[in-house]
Amino acid sequence: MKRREFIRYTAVGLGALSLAPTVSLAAVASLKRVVVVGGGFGGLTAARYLRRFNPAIEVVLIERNEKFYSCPISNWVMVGKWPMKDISFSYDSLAGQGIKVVRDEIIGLDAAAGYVQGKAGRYAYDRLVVSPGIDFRDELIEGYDQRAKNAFPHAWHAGPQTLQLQQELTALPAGGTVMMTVPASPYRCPPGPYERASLIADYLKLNKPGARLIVVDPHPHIASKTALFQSAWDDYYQDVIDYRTEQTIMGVNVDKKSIMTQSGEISADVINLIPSQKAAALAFTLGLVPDGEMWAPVKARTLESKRIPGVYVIGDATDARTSGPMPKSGYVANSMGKVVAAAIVAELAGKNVPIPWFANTCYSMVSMSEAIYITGVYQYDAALDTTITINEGTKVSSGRSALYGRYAEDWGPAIWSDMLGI
Amino acid sequence: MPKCVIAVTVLLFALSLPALAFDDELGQVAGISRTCAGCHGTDGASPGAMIPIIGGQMEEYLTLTMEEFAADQRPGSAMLKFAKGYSTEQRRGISAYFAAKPWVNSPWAAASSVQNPDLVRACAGCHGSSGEGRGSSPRLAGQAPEYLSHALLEYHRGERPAATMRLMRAFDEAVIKLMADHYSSLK
Repeated sequence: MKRREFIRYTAVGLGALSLAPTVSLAAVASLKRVVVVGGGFGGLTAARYLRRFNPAIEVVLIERNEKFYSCPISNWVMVGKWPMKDISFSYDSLAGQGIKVVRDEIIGLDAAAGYVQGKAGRYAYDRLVVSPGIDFRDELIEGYDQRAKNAFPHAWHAGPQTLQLQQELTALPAGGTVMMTVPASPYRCPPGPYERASLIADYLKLNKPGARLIVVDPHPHIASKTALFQSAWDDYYQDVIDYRTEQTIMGVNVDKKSIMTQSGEISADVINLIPSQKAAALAFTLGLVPDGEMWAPVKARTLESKRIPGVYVIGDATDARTSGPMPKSGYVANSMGKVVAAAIVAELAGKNVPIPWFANTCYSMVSMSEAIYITGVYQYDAALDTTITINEGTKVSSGRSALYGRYAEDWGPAIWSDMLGI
Repeated sequence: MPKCVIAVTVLLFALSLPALAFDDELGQVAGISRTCAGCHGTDGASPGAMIPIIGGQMEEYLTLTMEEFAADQRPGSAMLKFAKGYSTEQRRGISAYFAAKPWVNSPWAAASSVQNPDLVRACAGCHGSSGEGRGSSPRLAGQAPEYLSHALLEYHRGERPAATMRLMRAFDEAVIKLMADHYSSLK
């Protein structure tokens, strides 16, 4: 932070927040604006909690899409367990909480001048929060062009591709073959591919007798909630899931409906190719990812970018070697949104930044009705200047149950209400 | 300058709000407690049918519940793990944090309008005449009906540690459902 800025922020802390009974013009002039880019789990939470902590802060949320589609629970939509409308949200609820929502796509940043550049306008900020999510490492897969992307949708951004796969599953011929690929770690939502595989397998079992699901995985074994998923697959899907481990996806062939791995060519009627991942393109465009890296490094205490002062990065795009050992999950992004909001509010008020705490709760369906879960507790350790796992609170469920499935159904509406204020 | 007027209005409004416990919200207990919202809703106002409302619940009851989860003395789900991730002092802090939040009635309660005051006359001694809760006896009024049924069935089956609540063993599932619907429909 520049010295001049520091003095300015300190003055705000003493002026506006020491509850001065008379509001001077100086206080008005010192109204602070925080711009949040990206209206997903991280960005929505940050915007909402900034206003909750200090309603005197102006919060502008910039999002390029008209609607928010929740990735968590989208696997349920793919197999018809829940309708698409249940994971689709407008941004209209934010206005009532004093958050200005602007639909625009950010294409640049001038940190020295303190603004981000969109296609439609320029947005000045005192602090910038970027919650860009993930994109895909297309370059690792030969032949993965736009035609291949359309033919083999990843549906790892929820939305139209979720429905495309749902329709392809519905149209699958009897005895047909579905294939899905698991991305290499680290990737968004570690249990997500295995939940999807479980649900597709159960869908096939119930609706498409004789159909098979080939799961192509770069990992040596199921990469998340390992024993719990494995046990469900052993008990329920031995005749449905053909699980192939340590497979590197090298290329695709749209005409032959196939993918190439180091072991050979695999073809299927429906292909859900989820490529390996990196921080979303926006993080690279804004200079938040160092050359040769895939994720954005941040300071553990504040989640401020290690590259650009005054700019904070949250959610899946952060480099876990710097943000902490938390998985790339919507729940963690929700935690990060609160941590960054508290850090910014404290800094603007000239107070100490609070000790960050994060949590993770993730239920995964292993069938249409039964779920398993994982919990995580993470605390910033000031002595180590890093965030650590609290092992006693970081566990998986004892087995699977329909009761956990009921809790899973409450999870979505709870976290969405916390993000959107609905 | 209309912008300036708006700004002044916003600021006046902000300063006229009831004293935001600013330092409290920046403390560690608040930081931990806010992570619970992913399942229990903002300030513990759970919108779910099975995950209970904890905002505005009795502090003593919340503390007891957390200790029981930490000691594996009652059934549960993620809370059996989370409770062990925090110290006794932190669990107490979390309980106090949520007890101090306003109670928001379950959005599911409106569906259950059946009231059976005769059925629950015996409950008032501990839970209050309108189910408002007292001490270690939780508030029941406006709680999610499916959660209440589930909780009462856990007492019925002897799965939760219970003193007085042992009396739930005498009622069958149909009656328990009526009791849950009664309390969830109270405001």
